[in-house]
Amino acid sequence: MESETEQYDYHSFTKEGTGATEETGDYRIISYPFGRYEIKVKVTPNNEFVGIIEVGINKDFLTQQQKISLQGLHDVEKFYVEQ
Amino acid sequence: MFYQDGLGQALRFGDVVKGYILTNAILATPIWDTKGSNYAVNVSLPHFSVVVTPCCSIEDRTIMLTPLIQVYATFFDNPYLAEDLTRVNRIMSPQQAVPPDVWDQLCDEEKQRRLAEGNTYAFADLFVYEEHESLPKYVLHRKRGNDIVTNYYMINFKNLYKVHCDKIISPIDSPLESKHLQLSVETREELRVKLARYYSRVPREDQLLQV
Repeated sequence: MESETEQYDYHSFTKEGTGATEETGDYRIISYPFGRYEIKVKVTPNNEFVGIIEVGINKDFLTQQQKISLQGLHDVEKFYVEQ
Repeated sequence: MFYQDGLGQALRFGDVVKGYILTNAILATPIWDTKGSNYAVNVSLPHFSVVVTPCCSIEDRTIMLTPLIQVYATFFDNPYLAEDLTRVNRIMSPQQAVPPDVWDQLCDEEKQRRLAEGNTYAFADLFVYEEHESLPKYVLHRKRGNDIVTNYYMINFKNLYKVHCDKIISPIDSPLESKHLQLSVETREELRVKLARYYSRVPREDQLLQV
């Protein structure tokens, strides 16, 4: 039971970060690397700072095994078709 | 450092090699019986190929290769990638994965969906090989003009094939004269991780079943 709790905590921290359920409205979200962490900052369309909405692990610091086990993938192929 | 200075005395995973034929079987339909089968086998000699057999498994007169191919011209539409195309090999942010004009045109919902992915890989099946003076330059023709001259190359994990060669006994006891470039230890690790990631992707329907 204890290990399940640890796995959940690890999963929620690496996948979602803290505060990940924040509503964003018309604001823009900018990811800002800060040491081992990645800070998601909310700004207005005019780039005025509004607040920090999420703090997560900067995945550039993941180990090789963690990189292999990453679940997500940027779906971008369709944006690289010669027009 | 992408490539190792000089060449080691063994064939290694990720090495750029030359002199190995490429075979490509083409099948109209699976062959259920011997009547009316329609297939062909194309054979060609790529200028360069890349070793994709893990170092410790180079043995028994068999090696896995993939041809070194031209990069997508459209990579250069993304300034983040154009600055260093080998960034294709590493995890990146959602914004870095697409050209800025594409990102700006995405709706907020789509942006949020992509931001939720965080930093991860794009182009799961591709690995870019850095420019090297010994690799010939080529021209990427753009439909809008402004052609690009480059000697970046890449491999596509969908293009793997097997070659039998009597001279390949072990990494050391192999035709080392076919070896053209060797990756640095760090780059070889990047290739290993990305290839492993390519095969370790879990389909969304399987993820749902695992919950």
